[in-house]
Amino acid sequence: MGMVTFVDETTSGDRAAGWGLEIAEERLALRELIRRRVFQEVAEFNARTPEVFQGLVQPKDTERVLNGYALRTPRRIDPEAQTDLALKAFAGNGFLVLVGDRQLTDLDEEIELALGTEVTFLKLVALVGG
Amino acid sequence: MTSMRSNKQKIRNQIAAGNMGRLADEALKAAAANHGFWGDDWSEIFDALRDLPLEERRRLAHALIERFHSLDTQPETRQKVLTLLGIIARDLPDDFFLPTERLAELEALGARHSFWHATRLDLLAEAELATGRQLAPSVVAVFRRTALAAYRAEHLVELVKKLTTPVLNVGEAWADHAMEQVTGSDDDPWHALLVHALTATASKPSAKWDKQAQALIGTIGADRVGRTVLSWLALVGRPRTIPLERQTYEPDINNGYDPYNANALRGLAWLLSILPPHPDTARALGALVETSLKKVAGMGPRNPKVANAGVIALSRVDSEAALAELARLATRVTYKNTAKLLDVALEARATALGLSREEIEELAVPAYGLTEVGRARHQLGDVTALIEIHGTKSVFGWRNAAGKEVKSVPASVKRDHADELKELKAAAKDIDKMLSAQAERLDRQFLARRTWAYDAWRERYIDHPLVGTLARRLLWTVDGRPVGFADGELRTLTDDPVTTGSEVELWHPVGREPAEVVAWRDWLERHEITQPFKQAHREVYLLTDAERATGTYSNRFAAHVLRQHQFNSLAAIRGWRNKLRLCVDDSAPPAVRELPQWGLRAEYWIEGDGEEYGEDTTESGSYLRLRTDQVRFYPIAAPENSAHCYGGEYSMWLRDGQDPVEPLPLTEIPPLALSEVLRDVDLFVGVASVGNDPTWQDGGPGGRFQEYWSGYSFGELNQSAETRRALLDRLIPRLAIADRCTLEGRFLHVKGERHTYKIHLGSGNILMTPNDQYLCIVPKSAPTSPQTGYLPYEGDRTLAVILSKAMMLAKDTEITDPTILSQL
Repeated sequence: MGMVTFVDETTSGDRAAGWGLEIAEERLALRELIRRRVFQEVAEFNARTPEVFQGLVQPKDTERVLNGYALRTPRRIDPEAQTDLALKAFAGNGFLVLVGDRQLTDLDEEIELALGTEVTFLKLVALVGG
Repeated sequence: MTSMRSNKQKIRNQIAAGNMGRLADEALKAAAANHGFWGDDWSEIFDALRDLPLEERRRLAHALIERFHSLDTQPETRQKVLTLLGIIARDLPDDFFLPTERLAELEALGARHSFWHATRLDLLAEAELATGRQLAPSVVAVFRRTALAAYRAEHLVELVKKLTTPVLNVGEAWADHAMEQVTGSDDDPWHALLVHALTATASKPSAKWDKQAQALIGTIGADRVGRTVLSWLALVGRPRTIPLERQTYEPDINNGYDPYNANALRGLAWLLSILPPHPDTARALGALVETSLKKVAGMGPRNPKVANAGVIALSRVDSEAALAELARLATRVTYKNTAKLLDVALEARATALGLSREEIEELAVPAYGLTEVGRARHQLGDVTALIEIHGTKSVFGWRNAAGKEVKSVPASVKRDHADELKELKAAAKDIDKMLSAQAERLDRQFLARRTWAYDAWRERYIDHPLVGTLARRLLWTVDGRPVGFADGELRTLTDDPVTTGSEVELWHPVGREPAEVVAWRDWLERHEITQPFKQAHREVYLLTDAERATGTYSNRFAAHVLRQHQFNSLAAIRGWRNKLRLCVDDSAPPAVRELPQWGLRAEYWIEGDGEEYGEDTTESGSYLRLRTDQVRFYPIAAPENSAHCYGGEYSMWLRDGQDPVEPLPLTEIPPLALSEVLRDVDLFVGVASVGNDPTWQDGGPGGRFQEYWSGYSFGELNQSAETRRALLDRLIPRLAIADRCTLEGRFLHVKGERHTYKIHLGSGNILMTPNDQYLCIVPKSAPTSPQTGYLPYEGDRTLAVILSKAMMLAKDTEITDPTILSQL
């Protein structure tokens, strides 16, 4: 069991304070790690249902606004559906995950979660030819 | 105007009543209301005041003088009293008119460039002249300048006719110097010459003008006139000897020409053209053209009329030097009117010699005494002077009698061959100027679609003493075979000599295999050849799939914010036609480059940005910034597009029932033309974008360009790109693609399977190695796949773009997007 710190690192050079998530297992597949993060995000959202969802991926039927996504009608977000979206985004280079000092590319790869492991999410941009 | 009418009535009432004190009050009241505009309404009053009997005028003068002293009013009111006094001045004794005050008023005027003619300051001058005194030269100058610019101001024109001395306006170095040499008496032929020069107000000298000039030259001697006038012209453009006070809204008058003297300059230029030709003449006229076209804030080119006179003069001189100067100016001058004149002059020469315009420009390049390509040897006594061209500069070398090299000019040369030395030095300067003009001309040949017959080309290019130094550093194709010049021969890539051929073209990397391009770069390096401009390393712009999708326009350089004035001059240099956009209700065509050899017209659509006068515009109301839009191509004869200066749709201006013409599909544009046009546009954006300006860190006016600014950078890395670099430095080793990435200078190099890519850390733009082809990949605007959320502390989007590009390109074999694949 350990406390994993999630850091959403972006590119301004600053890092967020990060937030902790208790994880009972010592080893976990990356897929499961992402699912835990999304579940936690959605649970926090659903508990308060603010107007803007701030999370890893954009929920369906929302509008992009400053610092998040506005829901067209106030509702609860489905954590399963949101997890699916997140996994799809990962596969499509929507974000990348660093665990400690290493980037993980395979969803099925198992991660050793020592105490205080830092998991970093790095956002990427969808690209097309111009 | 009602108040003017009632004021007039009141004045008339007081005249009828004979109450001069009240009359003075009413006149001053009316004058205060006119804000310095003594317009037509006043002529009646002026007449009424002038017609007053002597005794009443005397009383009125007393009353006005009293008010002048007692009111202790602002300068404008004092000036009005003086003006009114000027009107009633006739046959009153001098001391009625506050002569000291009037003189002070006039003297102050001498520090100005000109004044508003309706302020009727001529009345002060008339009053002063009526006393039999002369006006100070600086005061004469301001009246002359004002009269030239004033519209419907006969009173000023009449006044100025009486101001015949000094012959030129004081305050300009060349004019002051010229007047020192002129006695000023009417029988001095120099004086007559200057008076004659001042009559050069037409665009071309008439036969009568020439004849009179010839007669005057005859009395002095052609040689003396030539030398003297050249010494005057050498001073044109020097800072003013009497600086003028710049008024609000007035342009940078101290850097302009005195418009009165400018007429004399035109006459002097014409004068030179009827003297026997001399290399110095061509040089001086060329310099006069360039000096006169220098731009001045709020004014534009200093004095196009003088520049045009210089061109006219050059075109009348039948000498090789003059033709060379015309050809040189044709590559330098961007001011449309003058450029047109140059064009006409060269065209006329070409027709006279039965040659094409291109050929005449080629033949016009003089050798300046060079005897072999890039070298000349002159014997000055027992000393040898060597001139050699290194790059685009000429370098002097000296050998003494013993054949030993000496560093500086030997004393014997300075002593015994001063004139020859002077001429050599001047020629060397001409060489430097001509070399850069020729390099620019050659750079333009890509779009001119020139082909040459082999023999003519050898003579005019490869073996030409001056042009050869450039041509030998370029790549050509002889009968389709690419060649360069090395070890005394034209050689192929494999160094096989090529000695004959029939048709020659300038080599361009478009349509060449990247392997060939790289091979030529290696070849140039191996032979230690530095090209005079980018040819083997020229950036190539190929049609992208996005442009195939948009069909008739390219969005590649849209949505940039450019500094308008910088863009405007760059565009002119690159052969584009553009109109400065003013923040007014007017319309303008887009920036246009015509490609007559291709039957095409390229357009870059732009519009003025912002609406705050003074913040988004210059003092004179031209926009500081432009927003950019599409690049399009039309048949060259298609009707002109235009749009409102402050934005809105472009639409075609159709006259006489013309049919609208659709833009051409980009796929139909020849790749070379497309590449060169987009290269120009990329240059405009790369140089003129506000994104380059580090002082715009705050996003410019109102911060509204913040995002644009921070998302943009070319050239050297700015601070935000440096930060990016530091971040990448830390981040990359942790990534799965770490072994494919290296940070070098301004770029993140990513090794893919197909190419190695260089991603610019400032702009996020990609160049592909080996041939620096631009790879166009942009963020998807409406992604269909699930999107990552905006993390709460959204940072630098460009870094995200760079990282995303790196991730994608490191696995370039897995790219499926056809719009990207087609570029690889």
